[in-house]
Amino acid sequence: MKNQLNIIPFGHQCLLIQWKNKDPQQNIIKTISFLEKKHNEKILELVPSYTELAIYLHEGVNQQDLLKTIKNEIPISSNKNNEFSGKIYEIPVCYDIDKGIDLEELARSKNRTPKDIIELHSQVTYHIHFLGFLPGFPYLSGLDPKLHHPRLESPRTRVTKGSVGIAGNQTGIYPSTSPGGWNIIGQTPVDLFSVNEDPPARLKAGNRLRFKAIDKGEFEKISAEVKNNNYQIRTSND
Amino acid sequence: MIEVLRSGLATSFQDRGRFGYRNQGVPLSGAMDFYSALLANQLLGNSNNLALIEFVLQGPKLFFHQAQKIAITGGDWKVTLNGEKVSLNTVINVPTNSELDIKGSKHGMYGYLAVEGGWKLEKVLDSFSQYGSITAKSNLQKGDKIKFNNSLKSTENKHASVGFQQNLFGVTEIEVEKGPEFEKLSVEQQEEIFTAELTPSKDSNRMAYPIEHGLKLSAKEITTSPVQPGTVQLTPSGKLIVLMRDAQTTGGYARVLQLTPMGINQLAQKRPGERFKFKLIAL
Repeated sequence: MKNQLNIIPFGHQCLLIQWKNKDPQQNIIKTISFLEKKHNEKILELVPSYTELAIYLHEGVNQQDLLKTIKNEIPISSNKNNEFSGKIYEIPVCYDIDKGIDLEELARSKNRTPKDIIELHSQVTYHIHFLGFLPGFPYLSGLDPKLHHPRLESPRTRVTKGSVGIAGNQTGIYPSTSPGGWNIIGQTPVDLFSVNEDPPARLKAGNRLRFKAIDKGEFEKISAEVKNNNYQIRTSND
Repeated sequence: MIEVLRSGLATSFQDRGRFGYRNQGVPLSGAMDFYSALLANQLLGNSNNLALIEFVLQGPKLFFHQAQKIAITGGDWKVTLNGEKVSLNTVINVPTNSELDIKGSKHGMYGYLAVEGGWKLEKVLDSFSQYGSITAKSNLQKGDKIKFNNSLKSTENKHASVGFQQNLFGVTEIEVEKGPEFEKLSVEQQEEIFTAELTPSKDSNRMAYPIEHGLKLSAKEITTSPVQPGTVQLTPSGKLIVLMRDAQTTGGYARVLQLTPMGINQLAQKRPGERFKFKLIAL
């Protein structure tokens, strides 16, 4: 189990833990709760990703000292079971072609019907590894390999808020309107990020997510509910 | 209260940044050049984290409805108060019903205007910094009216002033440390990256400064991983990009170098065409 991870300085006020095993999600979750318990007063922020954890330190904290201290303390997960067990969010998506503007093209290049694509996309339970890229943007794993597809060659200057896309082996949701190069296959009416909520991001790393196909009527209905602040993202445990 | 008569290029309120939300994908934001921002607040006896107005290349024109002590830092801006030239890097007494016009600058990119006691603004997610999808507006706009926070004024007289910041604007070497993927560069590239003449591209903004380098560099993409302001990314097609204050919290390009905290301030003030080199310092 030794040498499962590296800890390196990343600039003046940050340590980076890098795991070498293939799917270290459980190690990362354990390490976060360990650091929050044991070294909270030294830590400004913890930012996880697929295989790393950035420990941003308060000004004045000695980076080298902390590195030496935590080197032998980081909990090693002997648990081979890397299954995500967090709750499952149900994200409604309208896959209509005026919302999923790249759906037909994607279907064509995969020699499938748009209906096949929608089925493949909405039958999987995805894992939420971390949030990044845009406020509230979830990095998901679990996309069916049949749907893997390269990014657009030239990114769009404007992708509408709520757009659901595919890029490489990933699928994701744009929480706000922004430039982007993902292939857009649908749109959710749900808000994934709101500064008036605590926490502002509606999805939490460690949990899971499923997409549910809805029609235009339901899209409009949920949009209105979201606007009036009476829409709750549905969750379940399996 | 001030009223914005002309907004300038990309004028915004900034403080030290928005901490505590990076794991939800929220950028840090904050003043591009902390050094100059801090100086403006300190000249007025303000606490270090008060919001100030940040402007870039072409400053705003503001009308002061009330008298106010202010300080302007961050470059050699051409500033007039009711048509008369005023000094920078010192306390300026602005009389009631005055027009302050901040025009261009010969050196530097980013300037700062602090007022004694700061502004009456609402924090969003614990910060005054304006940023696209977080705050209602991402920039100051013509017609905006912003009140002063008079409750925080101190009574002491302020006479402090400082000279031109040679260590900020005069540097030709910007200090960096090795980034997590530095060793992915070939031995040759590891040397070249420190001898090459570099300059920020015209596309530089609060998110990132793409760097023109004339080198043959390239690095494979990495699994999306944490990045921070000052991270120097290298793309497969050879682009060198320094992430700045509004950068994403994670990224998929190789992180070959990391600027020092002062290096970020120094780079922020470098104009497209202005030459510099990276200088490696030991961690």
